Amino acid sequence: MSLKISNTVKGKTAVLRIAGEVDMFSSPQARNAIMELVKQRVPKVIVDLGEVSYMDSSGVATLIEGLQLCHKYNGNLVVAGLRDNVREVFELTRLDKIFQIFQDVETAKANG
Amino acid sequence: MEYQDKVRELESRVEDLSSLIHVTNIISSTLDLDELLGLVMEKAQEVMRAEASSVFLVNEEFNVLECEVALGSHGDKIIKTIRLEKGQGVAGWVWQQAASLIVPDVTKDQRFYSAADQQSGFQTKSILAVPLQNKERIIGVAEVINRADGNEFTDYDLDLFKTFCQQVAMAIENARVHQIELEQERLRQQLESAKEIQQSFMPQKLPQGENGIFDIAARNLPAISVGGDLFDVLMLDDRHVGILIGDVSGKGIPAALYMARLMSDFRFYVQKHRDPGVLLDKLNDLLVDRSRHGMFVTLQFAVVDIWTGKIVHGDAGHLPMVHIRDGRAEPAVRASGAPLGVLKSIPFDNGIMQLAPGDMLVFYTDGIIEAMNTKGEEYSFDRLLACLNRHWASAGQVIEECLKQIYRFTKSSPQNDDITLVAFQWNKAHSMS
Repeated sequence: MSLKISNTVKGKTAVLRIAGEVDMFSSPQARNAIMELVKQRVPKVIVDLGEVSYMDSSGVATLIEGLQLCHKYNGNLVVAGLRDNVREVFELTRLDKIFQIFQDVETAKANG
Repeated sequence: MEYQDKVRELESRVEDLSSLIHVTNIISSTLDLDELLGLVMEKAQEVMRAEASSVFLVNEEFNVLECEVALGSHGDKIIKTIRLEKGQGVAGWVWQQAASLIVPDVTKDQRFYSAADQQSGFQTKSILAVPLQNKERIIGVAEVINRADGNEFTDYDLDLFKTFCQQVAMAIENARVHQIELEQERLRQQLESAKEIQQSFMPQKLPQGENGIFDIAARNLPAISVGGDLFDVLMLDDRHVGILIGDVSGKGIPAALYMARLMSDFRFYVQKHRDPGVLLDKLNDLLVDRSRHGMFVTLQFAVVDIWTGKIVHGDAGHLPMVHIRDGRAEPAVRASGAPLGVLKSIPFDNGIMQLAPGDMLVFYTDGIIEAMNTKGEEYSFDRLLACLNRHWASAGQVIEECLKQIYRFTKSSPQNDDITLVAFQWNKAHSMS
């Protein structure tokens, strides 16, 4: 199933909204959207996962790749609005030590 | 005379029709695209009574037309060397407009692209060009060049060539589908080989404790597609056994290659650094440096002192071990640490546990807790814990029973992820006498 993706870039911050199930079939779509922002060297990318109902390791790998590429130009990629099941995936695999996780996009904008 | 002309014309059209039927035979005779295009265009040239012919196919990756076949006295000089942009030359125009075109005199038509003639030495006078269409999509352009009798191409020629090109387009699609099927079969066989190679990186024989001091069993079941699970069990010296389990993110060949390289790195570094925290830190630095496409790995590494039952373990974002004591299964306390290959300078602290004789430790990968039944439900950690919650006679029994329960739950439906289980039982303290 394909994802619904939209982004808004305002100043130094981009908010990438992803909706749907991020798995090995749909994650290339999310990857393309992140790559687009990375190409523009956006200093802060906030990935809004509020509408993501499921994420597997390929989805996580997509976010990690984005994070690594952002770090290369001293930018940052943070995640926001995680649903409980997605948050569990992050906590279980200790990705909360790697990503800055925010309650929602507004908090992410104000911090980090 | 008029009557005889009509008869000749009819005879000629019957010939054209039988040529079309012949083309259908050619199309069904081969699925090799190059061979097919050569044979079909040879026939086209003959039927259209043209001096030369060519077929351009759309290269979707570069969005250009590429000359695949050029027949005629100088054709061999331009094959594959001519590339046209959309709108460039007569063929590029036909592609852009999705319309056929008769150019009676190329010297009077600005669309004509003379570079091909300059390259081949051939002299183009007139062209009849038709798009090759599969449903609404243009897949190429076919051309016949210079009528042999010196006349201009007619509307009748155009109609005939169009009919011809419909067959050609269909044949190209058939050949392409066949090529895709061949490619899929080749990939399937490569995946099979990759699976076998990947298996060979895992220990074929596990160390066993002398006098039953410990018991260990393991099983790795690769998924349909090659996955990235790994495990290793090795004696670090005569009193320490090292147990490694891990899961590389993603699937397929990239995960298998990543896993294979990691296994050799692990075996190299573990000789120098058996402290789990230090080892994970070293591996992390190595993996971050060569990180590609966000790939990462979760790992659990435990070193058991088989004389005392003391365990030092490190955790890089892997699922918690299950500790079974007196028939009660519980998740073991995790050591701190995050997946490897993402960020440098993440601390990997060691966890320490003390086993009692008879205690069992179970290591596993997410293929177990995410094993899915036909209703789309996952096996889950709770079910695994419930399955393990009893007294066990041996490590082998744990593996067999767990897999049996998982099969019962999934009803043996094919799984998308590897399943790996390692069970370790420590039986008794070492007698110093």
